[in-house]
Amino acid sequence: MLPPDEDLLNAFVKSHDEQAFRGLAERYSGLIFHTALRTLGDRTLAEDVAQRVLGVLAKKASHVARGNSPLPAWLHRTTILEAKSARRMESRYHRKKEAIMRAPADSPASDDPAWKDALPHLDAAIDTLPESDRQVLLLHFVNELTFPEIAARLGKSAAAVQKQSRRALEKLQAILGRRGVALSLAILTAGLTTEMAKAGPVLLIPALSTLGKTTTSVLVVKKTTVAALGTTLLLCGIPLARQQASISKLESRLRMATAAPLESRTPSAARGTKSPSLLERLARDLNSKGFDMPRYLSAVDHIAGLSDQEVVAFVKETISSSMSKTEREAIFAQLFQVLFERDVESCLSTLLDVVPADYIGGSQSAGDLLENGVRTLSEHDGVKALAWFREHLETIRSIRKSRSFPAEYWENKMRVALAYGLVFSDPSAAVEVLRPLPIQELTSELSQLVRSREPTLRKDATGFIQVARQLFPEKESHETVAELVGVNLAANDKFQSVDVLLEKYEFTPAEIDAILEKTGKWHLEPASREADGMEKAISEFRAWLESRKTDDIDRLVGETLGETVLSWSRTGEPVYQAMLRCRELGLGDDAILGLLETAGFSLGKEKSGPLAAMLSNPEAAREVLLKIQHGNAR
Amino acid sequence: MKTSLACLGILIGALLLGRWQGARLGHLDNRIEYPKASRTMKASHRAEREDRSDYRTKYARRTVGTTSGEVYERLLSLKAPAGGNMMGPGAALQHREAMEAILQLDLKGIGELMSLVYQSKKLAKTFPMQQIAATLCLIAMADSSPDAAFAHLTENKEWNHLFSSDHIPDDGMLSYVLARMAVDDPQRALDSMRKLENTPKALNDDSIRRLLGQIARRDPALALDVIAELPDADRKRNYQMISHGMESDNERTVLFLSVREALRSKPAEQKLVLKTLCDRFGDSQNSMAESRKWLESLGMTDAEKNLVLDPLCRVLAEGYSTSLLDNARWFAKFMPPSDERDSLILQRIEPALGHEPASMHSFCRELGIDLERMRKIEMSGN
Repeated sequence: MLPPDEDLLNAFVKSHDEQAFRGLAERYSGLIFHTALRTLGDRTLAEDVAQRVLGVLAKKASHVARGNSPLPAWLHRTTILEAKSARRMESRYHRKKEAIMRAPADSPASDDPAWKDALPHLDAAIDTLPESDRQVLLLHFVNELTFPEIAARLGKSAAAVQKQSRRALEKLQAILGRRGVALSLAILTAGLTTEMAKAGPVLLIPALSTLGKTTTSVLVVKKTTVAALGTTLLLCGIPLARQQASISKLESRLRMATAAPLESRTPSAARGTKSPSLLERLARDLNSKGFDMPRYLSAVDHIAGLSDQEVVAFVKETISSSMSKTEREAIFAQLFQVLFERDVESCLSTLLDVVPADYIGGSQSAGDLLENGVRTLSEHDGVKALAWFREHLETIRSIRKSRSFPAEYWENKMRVALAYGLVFSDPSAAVEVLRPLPIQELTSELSQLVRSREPTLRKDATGFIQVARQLFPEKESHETVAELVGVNLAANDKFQSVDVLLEKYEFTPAEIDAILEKTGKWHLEPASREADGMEKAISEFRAWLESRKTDDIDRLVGETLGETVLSWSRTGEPVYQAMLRCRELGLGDDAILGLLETAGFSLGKEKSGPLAAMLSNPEAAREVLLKIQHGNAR
Repeated sequence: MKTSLACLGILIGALLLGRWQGARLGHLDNRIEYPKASRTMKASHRAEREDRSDYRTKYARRTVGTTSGEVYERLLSLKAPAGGNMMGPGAALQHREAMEAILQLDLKGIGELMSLVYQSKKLAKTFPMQQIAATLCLIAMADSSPDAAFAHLTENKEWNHLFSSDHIPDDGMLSYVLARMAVDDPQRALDSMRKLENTPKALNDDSIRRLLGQIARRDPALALDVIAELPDADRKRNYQMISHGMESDNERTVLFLSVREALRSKPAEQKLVLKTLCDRFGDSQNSMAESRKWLESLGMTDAEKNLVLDPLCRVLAEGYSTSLLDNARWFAKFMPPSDERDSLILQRIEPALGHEPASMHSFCRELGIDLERMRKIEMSGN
């Protein structure tokens, strides 16, 4: 006796036992094939379906073994599903159906015409039966088990199985009846006995048995499928494989590149690196001041030991080198520093003769050198400096800083640098040198000159006063002269130092007014953060003016306060608060008028109104407010 | 049906795999460039350290048997130079002979000299010569062993007391020593800097930025890693600092490749660094030809080029009208085609060619700019 289905199935699942699978295939190939054939009516298709079902069985064997459903029922259901799937894909179904029906070899055993009509519907009808009824019928007709054997397998009594079998047949009869096939129970039973017990085609068995060897999903494939998949894989695989080869190659190179020890190479042998020249090393070391002072000092000392010719040669090499700007600037500055310390005039001439104008225009260190050099030269020997300037004027004019700067930028810079010394040694020459500059630029440059030459100006400002008087129209002249206040305020007592200044030189009344106003501003501004400080500063300033027996003190104080407001917007409120108490400070109408006329529009209507209201002359108040209003409207 | 689906699946899979392989190839290409350039840079720095003896004589350490006591005697005659004393590392510039003398000592000798300086009542009387002498000693110590100098600064209260009443290590000298350390070993300098995190006021933000700049010159990837960990507000200034700190094209190239690698997923930060790196176009000291050559050597992607459109368009602003057209030609060729690129070119060349319509049209045709279309865009924009 053959082993039961469960044993064969378990043997296959556990050890891929080919014999076991072959046993199952032999046992059920008939059921599968004929179920498929009945459903599809096409022998070829039925074979395909049968193969597919066995393939599914091989794939899902473990699942079937674990399940409760007996194998024939599972196979029958799977065959129906696969057949339906096949039928959907095959439009030939109807055409083939007739061919099948006509084929004598495939005709049912029964010759009854009603049975022939029932065959196409038989399996669908069986499939619609309840699971338990289907199981009983298939075990009885396919496995050819007796009712007691079925009862033993299902754990029921033989009588119950027999009754269930009969009810199942009746149900099947009714289902077929509903499909227009009238069969007696006898014909149905006889037909099922013949039909279900048929063996499968012999050819199938060996093919199916090989399925047991593999359990993959591509166990059963058509040759065409193999060809299509193979071609696709080939088409995609070749470029992918080539690309993968490139990746592997790069990965290998990367591993070598990162793993190669640096020490195994000499620096100069490293790819793309040539030994730096002495100049490049010097330039690099001059940039190491922030982190390697000894190295920096070595480079400085080495350059200091070069002859003039060697320095000039290095300058030329620097200009034509491919060093970075930082390196170039460092070496350039140091090379010229050496020449500068030896002879300023020669250094400047070398700069203009050796270095191209466009290089000087774009180099901070060259520009600084030129400016400092001319200043130094004019300070030591104004005549020599002037001669040098005239000799090199054309070259200086060819230097351009950049397109956004005026063409005469460097010429003007040089003129101001010349004035640095000439103002003291030859004021007339200084005036001549400075005259081409625009007034606005001149006032700014002379203010800077005052700040940079404070010690010299403190000793003697005669030249400066002369230059300012000759160079500027009246107003600018007075304001420039008044810049001298800043020089003398360096002393501890501001007012006393200005007294000294006023006694030392003969100033015009307008210049004196400008100096007093400037002194007031210097005194008031630092105190103007709060009203109290402002009141104190106003009182001090007023007392100083009284001590100097100055005319129009109130107006001067008012105008100075106005200038203070204008020069520093934060002082507006403290000045306003202080001026509300101007009577207590001893200030008259002129102080209020001076303030309002100078900075009324800046104080605004809200502050100007109350201040104007304090004026004793209402007409003057109205007039000044109108002026402010008009000024604001404008 | 199933076969077709399977084939389609294989094709899609192959496509995805192909794309991944392409990306991987690009990534590897970049990475292979980095070690190449990095190695060149490291070799250059190594050469920098090794070739100092070429002209370094006075400041090279000698074995003439000079003792710390002898050098101390010389320090006692230190005098304030005209114009006032420089404190910090700059003191070495004003007292070069003393510096030269101290550098003749070995590490042990420098340590002995320092003890003499701290205990010197004579030096204490000539304020601030005791501080200056101590500073010179520390510079010499850093030259011999940055680690020893760092340990001295952070652990020697006596030294710190000379400079600050609250015993905080001097910021200027700490920066100097750490920067010196970074020349030989950036990672060690970084680790040392981190040791100071718990010492308040030890290093200010500027000093940290400068040190990162120094580290970046030696190892840009390391500096980028550190900056990535900083708060948002600090990152921008640090990125700018390291970009500005690059002194040679080779260093800039390595930084560019490092940035490409490290900031791949941060386009805003990548843009910031690349923009700063490309600022050299506003720098008239670097010839346009050199700058162009460097840019072309980077192998920038179109996306990277677009990130630096602003600094690169300066190429069109600098120079005179004769070179403007040449620069515009280069710019049009280098940058990927876009309306923005064309608009920038037109803005710059119109003042030069606008009065000659025929030349303008001809030049635009040469550059592949659709002048009429661009003018319509401009009009609609207005």
